[in-house]
Formats: sequence, structure tokens, C-alpha cells
Amino acid sequence: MFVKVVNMIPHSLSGEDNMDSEPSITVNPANPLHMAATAFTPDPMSSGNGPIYVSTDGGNTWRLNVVLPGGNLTNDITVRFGTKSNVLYAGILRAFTIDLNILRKTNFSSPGLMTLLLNKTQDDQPYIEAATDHPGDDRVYMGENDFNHLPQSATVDASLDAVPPPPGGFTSVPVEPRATLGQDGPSVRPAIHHTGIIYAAYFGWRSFGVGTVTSDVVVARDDHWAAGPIRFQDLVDPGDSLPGMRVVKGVSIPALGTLLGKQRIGSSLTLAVDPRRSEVVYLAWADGTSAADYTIHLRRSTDSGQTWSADLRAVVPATNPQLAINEFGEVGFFYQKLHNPGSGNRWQTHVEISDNAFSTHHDILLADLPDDNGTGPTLNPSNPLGDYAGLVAVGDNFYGVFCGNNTPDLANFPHGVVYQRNANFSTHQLLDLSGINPVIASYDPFFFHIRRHEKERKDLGGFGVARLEIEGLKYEKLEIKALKLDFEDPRSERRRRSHGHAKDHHEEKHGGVLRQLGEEIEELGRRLASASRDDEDNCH
Amino acid sequence: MPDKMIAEYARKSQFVAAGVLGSIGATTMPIEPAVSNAGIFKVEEVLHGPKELRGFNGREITVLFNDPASVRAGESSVLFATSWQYGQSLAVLEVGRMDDKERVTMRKEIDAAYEALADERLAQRIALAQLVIVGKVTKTNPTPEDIRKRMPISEHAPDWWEAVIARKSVEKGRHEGATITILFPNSVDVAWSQSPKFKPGQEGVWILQRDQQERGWPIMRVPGFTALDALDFQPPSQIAHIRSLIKRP
Repeated sequence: MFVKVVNMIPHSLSGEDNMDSEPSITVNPANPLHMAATAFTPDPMSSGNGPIYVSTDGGNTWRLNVVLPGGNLTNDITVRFGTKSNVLYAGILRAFTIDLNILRKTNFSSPGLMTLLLNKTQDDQPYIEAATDHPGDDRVYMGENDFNHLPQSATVDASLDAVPPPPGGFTSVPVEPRATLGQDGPSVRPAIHHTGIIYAAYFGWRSFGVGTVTSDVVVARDDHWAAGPIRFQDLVDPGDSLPGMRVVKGVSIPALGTLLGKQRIGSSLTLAVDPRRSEVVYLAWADGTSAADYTIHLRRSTDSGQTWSADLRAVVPATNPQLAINEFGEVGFFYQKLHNPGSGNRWQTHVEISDNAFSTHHDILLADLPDDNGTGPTLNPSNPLGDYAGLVAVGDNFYGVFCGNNTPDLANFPHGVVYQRNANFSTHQLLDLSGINPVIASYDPFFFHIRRHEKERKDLGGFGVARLEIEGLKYEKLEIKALKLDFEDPRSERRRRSHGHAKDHHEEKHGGVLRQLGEEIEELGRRLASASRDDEDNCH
Repeated sequence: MPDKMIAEYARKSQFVAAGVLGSIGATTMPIEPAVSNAGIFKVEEVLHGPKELRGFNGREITVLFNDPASVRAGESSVLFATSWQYGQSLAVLEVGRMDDKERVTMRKEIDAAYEALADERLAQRIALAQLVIVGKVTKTNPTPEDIRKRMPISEHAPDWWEAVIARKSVEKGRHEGATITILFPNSVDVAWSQSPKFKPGQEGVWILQRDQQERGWPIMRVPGFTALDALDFQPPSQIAHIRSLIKRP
């Protein structure tokens, strides 16, 4: 298994000591070298606009690009690329007003602010997803807890063609049909299947307990891109004939703000759909009566959300579950678990990967970090990890981001780590830009990339993808210095069946390679054309 | 009084450095997509900027110039710039450029421009306030349940608390009582982390708005006096300065 972990704070900000928590990440499916990520990282110059993290080399290096309107740092923020458009979308809560904005940017790494698509007030925890449909329109879905729809606040804002001017084609779709205690939980998570099936998971808060709320965990579904007059009503619970299947009913969840270690908990939810089969859905959430028994449950449906498995995994005490499913159908399950080996609380950040519905799984421990906020400015003393982290799958890769204590100690990173900022791993000391003066520990975002090695993928029995990897890309002139072809693809059932028949295999393989290569080159041309256009961004 | 051009540039700049212009077309960090008007600037001295960037003295940075044709390699300049990218190096957007005249005088004028800007921002907060008082916090406590329960349950809920302030003087507006009760968000969530928090014994100047309408969702707002901006509470050492700002036309 290839595992890479990178501390995302750029070298130029070696002297920073912010609490850069609550991360999100997106990888451009049309060009996986291009990535954007976020955290509660302020613009160091306090320009009045906020930064995103960008990488154009597959996550090996990161820099901040100041493109977010509405304050030196945002409140909540999540980001997604359209699947084919190269366009970046963001859902943010602005500073001060806490207004919710949906934003877009054609070229995510260029200068200029993101363009406003939608502004709303009294709307919490924007969680954005996007997909490009066949005509090339970007369909954008944002889960949110919309207090304009009280008492049934679980909402998805949907646009079938998210372009300016505001409101960007967005329609607000409440997805909660049942009575609540006055509102739903903060987390509303959409998931898109490329055939137009949209799932949305939410916490249907039903009543107050003692230091808890009693909640259903509900999955709704729309089978037509949420395009019709009646939306998110295609999955009906036979128990009450209302839209939205109650996967569990009446579970206790610790009140929002309950502390697990130093991290607040109370709304941990994630959902992912198998890109090969829209009826296969994974769901994870956390419940419990206290922090000590805050348990992440992982379950699976193979019939589009109608019925659900028992727990495939149960992890306690843990928070920030994230799910993603790659093109092989392998499921990535991310979480952060608190433990105490006797020397104080620590956060273990795990990704478990399974190709058999968690009958077995690889457990990858990315980091084991102190639950220690450091002694510097504490922007978010009760939210150092964040209310969520990030995990996405592109191709056969898993990419993600998490936050944690940034003490430079290789013992904390079982698979190693690369720091861009100055750090002395012998003395476990961060250093400023000069490389001399010490910098206090704080929280940083960490990027990770997980991929099976070639041999492991061969062992899966697949073959057939052509992948074009280009080194030395310049926009004035395309230079291809190296061309590497990889023939594996277990996506095709026909190819898989032909395994072992040497002649058929050979012919099939080369035909597939040429087709795939043609598509890759065509896509590259589109990317280059898109990169040279900057008609929408407000470039300097 | 700062130089007029410096004052104008300072209004849009957060980073000012004296240094030497380099060549157009080169950059100190990968810039993708490439831009034609980027070039290099060798920083001799950061004259204004955040502490994280003071380490750029003696280093080269990338600048996106407004008019690359005006850039003469080797020319000494004072660069006024705003944020763009922070990576292996620093890339900034040029706001303006001036000849690097006598450095000591220039530094004083730049400092004066930023002091004037800070005063202007504080004066704006004072202008928005209905009441400015000097006093000492005697007591803090959570607001009554009926106020707290009105709020939606959110990570961003302000968690309103009351602070009772023993009044020493009223600098703006009218207040008759010996004490005044104000509200403050006790939440340390990112949404409220920059709003001042108060503790018994704390002394200073409060710049208070009545029934504020600028922070948080409408559903979160409560009637009463608040000091929600980081500038809305000042230490006792600022009393004379605030009095002078209040008297300014």
C-alpha cells in the first residue's frame, strides 16, 4: 500500500501558530494532480479575504491562494470540483454575518475571488457535492441545516447548472418530512451517483434527553438529479410511508458541544455511493449517551437504501467519520479515535479500506497525535480537529485531509510525513522561516494519499486501464517528457472474464489501451483550453 | 500627516517592502497557470506586514505587477502589495510602487499611514456606537434560559452571557446608572472567537452598540448593548486616545 502524508502549511508560513482546524478536500477528477483543500486558516495579511489550499502536483506540495470573499477566514467551508468541468465550488459560512454562500471559480489556482452563486442567512454547516452531467453542466448539491425551514431544517440546495448570476439556479429542498424537536441535526450529507441518483443523509432530531438528543438517522433519495417538482421522495420508509428511510430510530446522541478529549462532538455523519453500482451505499454516523461511548457505526445497503446491514464496523470512542468508494468498489472508511496509552489523550487517525464489505479490511494508521492544543492562540479550543475531516476517491486512489497537533515527531506518523514548513524532527521543534527561531506547536491540516501498489492491484485480478502521466507540463507549450502506460482495469466484467485466455486478453488489452489513451489526450486538451481561458474569474 | 500616495496605497495594502525589482517572467515559486505579468522582487526590508512575513527580509518574492512594462530590473522600489499566494515562497499582488527615497523618512510616513488607518477603523466603530463607557466588570453570568433557548442549536450559537460593568465615565451617549449590563458571546467557536470575552475585574473602554444588526444570523441576535468587534473593547491605556477620536470632527 502506498501511503503519503504531508503537512500542508507552506514553507513561507513556517512561523504560523494558528489552529488550522476543520478541513475539507477535493481532487479534480478531470486532472487528479489538481486539488483544493480548506481549513480555518486565516489570510496572514488580513486582506479581508480568505485562503484555500491548492496543489497542482498531486498533493506533494501545497500553497495558499487567497480567493474566498467575506473575511480573513471563513467559518465552515467545504469544496468540490465538478467531475469534468475543472470548476471549483465552495460552500462557506462567511465571517461576521455567518451568511451561507455558494461560490465557484473556473481556475482554482489563479488570482481573483470566487464568484458568488448564492447568499443565504440562518443556514448552517454547508456540505457541497458536484457532478458534471453529459451536456457539461455542473450539478451542485449542498447539504445544510437551514433554520429558515424550522422545525424541519434538514435541507439540500440543488442546482442543475450552477452558473452566475445568483441564485445560480439553486432551489432549496427541505428533505425532512417528520416532526422534530424544533430542528434537525447540523450534518446533512449528499452523495451523487453519476447516473443522476442523489442520496442525502441527515439526523432527524426527535426529542431532548438528559445531555443528549434522541435522533433518527435518515437516508433520502432522488432518482432524477433532484430535477422534478417532487424531490428526494424516491425512497419511502414502509414504517410510516414517509420519504426517507430511517436507518436507525431513536438513538441517543450527546448534546452538541459535548467534549471527547478536547474535541466537541454531537453531529458525525457521512455517506458514499459506489460509482459502479448506484444501489450500493455506505453510511456511517456516531451516537452514544456520552463522550466515552460515542460510537461510529458503519452500515451498507445494496438495494438503494431500502434495507441496511447490521454494523460492519463499530469504533468507540471516535469522531469525524468519512467515507469514499473508489472505481474498484473499494471502500475507504476514515475516523479519528481517542485513546490514552497512559501518557495522556491522543488522537489516532485511521483509514480502513475494504473490498469485501468489511469482512476484512486494511487498517492504515496515518497519525497518532497528542490531544494537545499547544500554548499559542486558540482560535477553536473546543474544535481543534473540526466537526468533520475529508476523504475522497478518484480512480483507484483515496485522498484525504485531517487536522492534528503539528509537533514534528516521526513516531507520531507510522507511514512517515513530509513537512513543508521548517521543523526539526530530532528536537521535535517547529522553526520559523529563518530556520532558527522556535515556533510553538498548534494544529495543522495534513494531506494524505493512499493507493494500492501495482502488485496488490494485480492481485485483485484486474487489468486494462491506460493512464497517461505527464511530467513537465507547461501551458505555453505542451511537453511530454515521459509517457507511462498502465494496462490494468478490473472495471470491465468482460475483460475480467477473459483473464487467462492469452490471445483474447492481448487483443482486448491493446484495444482498451488505445481507446483510453485517446480519451485521456482529449481530456488533456480540454484541460489546457480551460486553463488558458479566464473569462469568468476576476483576474488581476 | 502621511504622504497622500502612501496613504492611498496603504488603504489597499497589507504588505510593504523596500527592495530591488527583478526580471519579469521569472517567479520564486511555481505559478500555475503561468501569468505574463509576474516578476521577482528582492526584499531588503519588510516595512509593514504580519509577523509571519518579517522573515522575508533578504529574500526574493514573486509579484504580479499591474504594469510589467514599467518594471526596470535593478531599480530600487518600495512595493505596496496585498495577498495572493503563500507557498515555498511568497507571491503578492502589486497595489502600487514608489521610488525608494530616504528610507528613514519613508518608514515614518508608512507607519503614520497605517496608524491613521487604524484610527479610522476605531473611529468608525465609535461612530456606530450609541454608548462608550469606561468601567470595570463586576460580574458575569449566563443569560436567562428564555433567551438561551430561543437560539437554534448550532455549533455557532453565541452562548450569550451578561457582564455587569461598574461605570467610571461615559464618553459617548447617555447612561444614568452606576452600572450597565451588556451582553457578550461566551462561545469560543470560530464564528465568535474574535469577539471580546469578559471576566470580573476587567477594566477598560467599551464601545457599545444597542440592538446590533451586524453580527450573526438574525435569529441569534438579542436586544441590548454589545461589543462584538475586536476593536469594541480597548484597554485603559487607550482612554485618552479614544477621547480624542470622539472629539474629532
